[in-house]
Amino acid sequence: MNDSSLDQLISAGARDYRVPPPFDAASHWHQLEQRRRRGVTRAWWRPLAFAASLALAFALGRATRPAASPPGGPSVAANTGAPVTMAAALLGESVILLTSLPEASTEGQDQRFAREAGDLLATTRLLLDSPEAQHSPALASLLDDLELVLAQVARLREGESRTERELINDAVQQQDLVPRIRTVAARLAAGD
Amino acid sequence: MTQAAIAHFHVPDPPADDLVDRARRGDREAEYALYRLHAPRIHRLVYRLCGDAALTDDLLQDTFVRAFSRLGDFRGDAAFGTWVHRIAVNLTLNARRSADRRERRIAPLRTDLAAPESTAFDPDFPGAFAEAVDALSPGQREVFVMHALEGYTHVEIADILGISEGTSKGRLFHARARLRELLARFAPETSHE
Repeated sequence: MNDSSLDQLISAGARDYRVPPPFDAASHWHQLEQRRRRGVTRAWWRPLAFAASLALAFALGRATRPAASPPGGPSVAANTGAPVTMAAALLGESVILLTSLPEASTEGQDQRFAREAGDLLATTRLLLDSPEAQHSPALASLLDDLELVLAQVARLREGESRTERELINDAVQQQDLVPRIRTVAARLAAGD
Repeated sequence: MTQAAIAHFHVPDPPADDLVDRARRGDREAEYALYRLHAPRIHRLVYRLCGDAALTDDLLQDTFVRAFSRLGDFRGDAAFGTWVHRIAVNLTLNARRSADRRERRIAPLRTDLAAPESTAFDPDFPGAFAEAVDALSPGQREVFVMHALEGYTHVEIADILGISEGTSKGRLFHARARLRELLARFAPETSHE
């Protein structure tokens, strides 16, 4: 198929693909005003999420810390696959990053967040291709969603970061990231 | 503000910078003017990206509630339109991406489509086109919808999505390649015997 044929098909398809309904600005504005008067906020969950994630980060830190080995005996770490250890560490660091984000008050921190997210993103992508992720739909799905959120954090820009952070926090909430991390981390720690 | 009051608003033409300054000072008329200026295009884009009218309305409201409450954060480094688009697109992608990925994992893309025998006027075409667009990767679909269906330039897309212009062009190239493959049976030349 040449470019011209493809353009024709796209043009034909665009006529029917998700054709937006008519937009009545005045009516939408009226609804918007009502909503602003009600002062709808979604921030109620933040303290709960923060407390839950602190507990999780602590638990993950314990779970991923190499145990003392008996002299001459194998270490716990040696019994676990490298991707599993890497995943546990990634989840622990991610939850700390994601829960620090809403609390951050100075914009100077954005570059640090973006840099850390970039590092975690690389690990996440490595793990997405690992056999562990291929064999565990829950882990794969979690890593998929984590990848998207970390990519957003890695793109944080100075100056507009407060709004961006709010959007990222919404994504974390909508995707239930923290509870899902807790579930998957518990399975990893249990060796499932 | 009542709808009657809204109807009496005088909606000034751009410059938008002046509107933003006034909106920042709490001028509702300026806010409404900004809304009139940007909401229709954002509404179209959000609907094209999510395909759900009720969700589109919610996301549009969410976008402007945030934008107006965060005007103090807006420093004018980018155009107000770009900034508010960025909020809308991020909200939309947050709302849709997980669902899209899960759906794709549950229902893998059909690659066993029927043998070529029809054209774009085939009654199956709209459904097949939608299926093909939905089968693009999230990044490719966003760029394709914005550029090919809604007419955004690569510069605008790059600003809104926070990617480089080259990445935007690359995603469009790959999206077209994938669509070429998925819609091959509808190509005019394949209908020849």
